[in-house]
Amino acid sequence: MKKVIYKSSGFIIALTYFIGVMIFGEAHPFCKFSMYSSFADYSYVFYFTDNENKMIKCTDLNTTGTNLAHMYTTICEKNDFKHGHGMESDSVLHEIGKQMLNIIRINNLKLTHNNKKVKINRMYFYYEGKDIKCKKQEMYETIFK
Amino acid sequence: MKVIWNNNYSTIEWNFMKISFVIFWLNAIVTILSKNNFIAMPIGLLSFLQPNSIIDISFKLMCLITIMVAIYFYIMEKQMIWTTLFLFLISVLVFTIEESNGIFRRNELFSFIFFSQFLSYVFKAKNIDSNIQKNRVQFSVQVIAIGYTLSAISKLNVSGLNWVFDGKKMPLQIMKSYFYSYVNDGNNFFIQKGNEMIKTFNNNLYLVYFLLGFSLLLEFFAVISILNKKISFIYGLLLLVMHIGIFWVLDVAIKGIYIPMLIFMVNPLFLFWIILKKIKNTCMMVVGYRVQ
Repeated sequence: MKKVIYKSSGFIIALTYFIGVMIFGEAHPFCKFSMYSSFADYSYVFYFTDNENKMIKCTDLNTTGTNLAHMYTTICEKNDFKHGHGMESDSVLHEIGKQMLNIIRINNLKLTHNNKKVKINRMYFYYEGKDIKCKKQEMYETIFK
Repeated sequence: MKVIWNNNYSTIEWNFMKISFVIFWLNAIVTILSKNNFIAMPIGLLSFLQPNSIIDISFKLMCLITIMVAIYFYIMEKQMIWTTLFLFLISVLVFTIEESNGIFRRNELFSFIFFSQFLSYVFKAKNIDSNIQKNRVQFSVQVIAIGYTLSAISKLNVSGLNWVFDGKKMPLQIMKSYFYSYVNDGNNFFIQKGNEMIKTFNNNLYLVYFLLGFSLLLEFFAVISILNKKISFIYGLLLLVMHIGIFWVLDVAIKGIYIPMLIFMVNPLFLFWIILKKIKNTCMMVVGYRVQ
């Protein structure tokens, strides 16, 4: 057995990782690294606004545009919400927004936006012919306490 | 040149790899612990917890203290079997906390590299393969290489070879990436830059197909970088060019992937040290010549 492992030591770790990914799928530390495995013909970008509809930078709320997009997909998958291509109904968007803002709020207990109104919105980018169009939608608003 | 261009890993190279690796890893860990106060949607290792479990300050402090001790042991090359195993487990735990808040930064390579190093020390202890100088680095390269190959397999699995020609849909992804940067800090510059990039993209569609095809091939054959150190170095430079290209076009740079690759395949800190040493020797020679 030792001899077999010795002879395969040049590739055994790569093989182990490959088998791990096949068995466990996307569970840390295993990953298929499937980012950009297809180029979707739509995109979502999420952003915050205040009570005057002025944009609040993501960095002010300790997050990033990429993190919000990840969070959105995870919440949809956890709740079995069908998502993509702008198919989400207003009530589904409202629920997802509520859960997203809840995570952001608890992770921002000591920030300056306490007692301020924070709204989460979505930009939906899609193709109309060769042109890229954008539809803005409000998702949910709350007061950070 | 011989110091770099050979097929053996010296202790000094290993030390530079360890130091740079652990700095970036610690930075990621501290960021996660400071930004996450609870577990919203437990997954993986944390799936036994209730949603909304709070991560309190005492847990975070305990984590940081034990991590600092482990890093000291790691850098000083002490108790490496236990140290690398501990670093692997704590790495999985902390990165899973972030993923349990719905955020996936693709830090898997960071964690599994510690596990591969753990195995290299176990192999030595059990007399399976005592070439620890090589294995602790080459095992890490294996993890990185298979990561890239898996990425290519995912692309082929989801889109097939059409992935290259689906690149014509990239303008929307480019716009998304630049809008991410815009919502991060509210700077309109990113929207303008995104629009310019889309124009450049549309004017050079065949070049884009070529570059996408080249990237796919590069990722797919990344496993050959495990053959030896020289190939790994050359491959590392090619992958670096690919990452620079992705960053230039899409404004996307996934630290959890390109940083381990750079450290274990190119080892920039070591290269920098070699250059500094060369400059120092040249200066001393010039000064010595003048004194004579």
